[in-house]
Amino acid sequence: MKILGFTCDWAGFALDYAGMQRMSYSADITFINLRCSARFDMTDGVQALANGADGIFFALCPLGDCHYESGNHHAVSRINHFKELLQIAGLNPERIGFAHADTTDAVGLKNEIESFCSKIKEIGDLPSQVSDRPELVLRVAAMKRVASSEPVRWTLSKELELVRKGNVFDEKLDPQDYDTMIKHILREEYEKGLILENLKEPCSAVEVAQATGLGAHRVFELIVELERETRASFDRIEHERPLYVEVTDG
Amino acid sequence: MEKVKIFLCQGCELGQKIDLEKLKKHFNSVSQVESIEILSALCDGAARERLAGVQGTLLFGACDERTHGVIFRELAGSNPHQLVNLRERCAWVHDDQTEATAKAQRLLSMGLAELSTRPPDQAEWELDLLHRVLVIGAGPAGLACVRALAEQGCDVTIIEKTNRLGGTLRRTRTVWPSGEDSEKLLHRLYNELQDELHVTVYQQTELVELTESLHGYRVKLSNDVEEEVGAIVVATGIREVGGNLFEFEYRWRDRGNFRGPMAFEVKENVHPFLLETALWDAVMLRHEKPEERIVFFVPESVVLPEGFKESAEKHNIEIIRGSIPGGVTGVTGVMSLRPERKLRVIVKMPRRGTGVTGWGGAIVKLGKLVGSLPEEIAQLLRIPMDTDGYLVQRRFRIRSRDVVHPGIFVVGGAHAPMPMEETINHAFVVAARIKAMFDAKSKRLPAAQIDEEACIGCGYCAAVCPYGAPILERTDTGHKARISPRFCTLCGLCIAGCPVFAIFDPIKSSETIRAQIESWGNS
Repeated sequence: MKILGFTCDWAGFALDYAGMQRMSYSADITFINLRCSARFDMTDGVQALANGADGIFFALCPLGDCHYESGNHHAVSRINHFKELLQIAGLNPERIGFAHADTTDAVGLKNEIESFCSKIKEIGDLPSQVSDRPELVLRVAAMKRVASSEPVRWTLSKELELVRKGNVFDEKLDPQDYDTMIKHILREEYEKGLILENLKEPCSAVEVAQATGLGAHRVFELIVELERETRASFDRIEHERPLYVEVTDG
Repeated sequence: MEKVKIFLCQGCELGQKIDLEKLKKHFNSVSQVESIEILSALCDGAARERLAGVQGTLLFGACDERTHGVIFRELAGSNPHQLVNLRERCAWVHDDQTEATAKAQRLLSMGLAELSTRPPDQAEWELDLLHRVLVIGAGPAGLACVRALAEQGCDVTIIEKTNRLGGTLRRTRTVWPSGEDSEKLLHRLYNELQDELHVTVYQQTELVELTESLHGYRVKLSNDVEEEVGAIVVATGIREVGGNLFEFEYRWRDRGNFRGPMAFEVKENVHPFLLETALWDAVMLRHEKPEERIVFFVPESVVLPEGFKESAEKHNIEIIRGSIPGGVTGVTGVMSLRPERKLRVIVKMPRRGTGVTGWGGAIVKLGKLVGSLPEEIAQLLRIPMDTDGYLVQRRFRIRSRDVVHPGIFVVGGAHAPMPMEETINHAFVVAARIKAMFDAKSKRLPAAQIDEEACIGCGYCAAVCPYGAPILERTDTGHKARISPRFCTLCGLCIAGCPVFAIFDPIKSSETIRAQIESWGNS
């Protein structure tokens, strides 16, 4: 079992403090220090999954007590959407956990780490859950595409601004509506990612539908959209079926 | 990529909890590593002797950066180095030796990854400040700060919005709570100022423009003077809204004696500072007039400060609680203390059935205190304001209380109302800080950097940064963001959120994090 932890510098204090007090916690978890938890990028999370993380844990400052003003609010929203992405990809969102810890709250943080580690132990290792490993690789690759796609990053980043401060017309957007929208975009981008992963070689819509498990109709719809975005293009006709291929830069 | 020399510490139970020999065996076979050595302790003299003259990239496996970082910086000298915390993050928290060793191996390879992906030290920005200060506001805080700075040989420019120096101090009678005469204090500050050669005073002048420059800030004033300064002190103080306590004190000081009872009408949103000051005034009035009635009308919603009631009782000052419909009537505008003019104060207090009528005296309203810096100038300085116009202290955890951005300081009442002594002490502290900042060697500030070609000018970073570091600029190829190094704290909020990955961190880049995750996954 391998768990990757991200900690902000200040929650890292609590972690070091736990060390000084010789508390013991599971050795499965290894932490990477980020200056602020807002530095966490979904691509890093996907990267961790791709490198065999069974769980990802975040230690951040208590809400309203961020050392960089509002960093942890952004981090929490990113983490929550990352969980949503995991759910969309058919993985257990419980694999992602986070805890708020004050700089001196070593006991609390240690307990949170312990309970998270035991939870991951219960859920089990990632490859053992998914019946065949190649499918997991495909999913993670699609998630990687989602995490670095511009529309997803843009909507995620703008969330707090649009929901709390309002847009240029001073209209505040409804948080739930916005959340639904993000979920929708995440799902669509994920499905597009899956399709693109299968379009590395010229492939027909039906074949893609079989490989991804999405309905043929939906796949065709999304391929048309991808064509419009110039991310996929028509390649040739084979056996009376049109084949499509991913457009790569350059 | 240069090969790395690893030094492991054996002290602090590291040797017992972690199988260092196994680590040595493992890392000897890693191509990136030149040598690995286990020393009995890295913080003692023997280690210093061993490491003297060692050249190359160094990786230390030892303890916490925060507690022992200095030692390792010294040990490494000019060599690039990385410290991996094997103590608090590994040896002290894991009891099982095999597990701890595996984790130590993971941590060390993550350290190696960080070393190999760290960009060369060119991303930093040199801060060599000009020894010149602009002070905004010539109130007590500003004057005290100017005086302390001038004494230390800094050139100071002080600008004042009105045509007279002194600010709030000019309007009050005595200083709360020391009881010193305001005028005397002002003259003391002012006379000391006149002896100084380094001070330029501009009256009826405001700040118009502020831009960053290499050695500080370039400022443009409303009298068309342009200057480059190393630091800016905001000492704009406070302003009274909906009340006239300062006006009253000013007239009291001006005209001296007065006759008749006194009424203090407290407004709902009164600032506690004003209540304290008013009580102090009332007590002094009581000394002058032992027989007159002095009444505080306090709404139910106002919470009186601690000791207020007792102190009022002691000096025979009445406090009437309750809402007054329509307020205290009979007096409008500024009260008059002229004895020949009879004022009628009619107070209707339906709940108690009693009222005070037929007064010849004064009525003082206690309203709100707000910060007096105009919003445009606060925006210019990029200091956020709260709803009462006080300047909000940002990053108070990271930097001390008076620094807003490096080189911009807020002094005295502009933060919040505070007693005069505290204001003046605060001004001295800030002056000392500025001097210390000037005297320190030129500093290097790391800041996030923007890849201009990749930037699409969406403005996300400018909108989201709590410190206002990224600025959107119009260029020939559309809008581009630029990050001003002085305001950047490198928190990474914009870096992780940039839709096109155009911002990067010169210290811990995304590549570093990715490489760390990869090496964590492989080990």
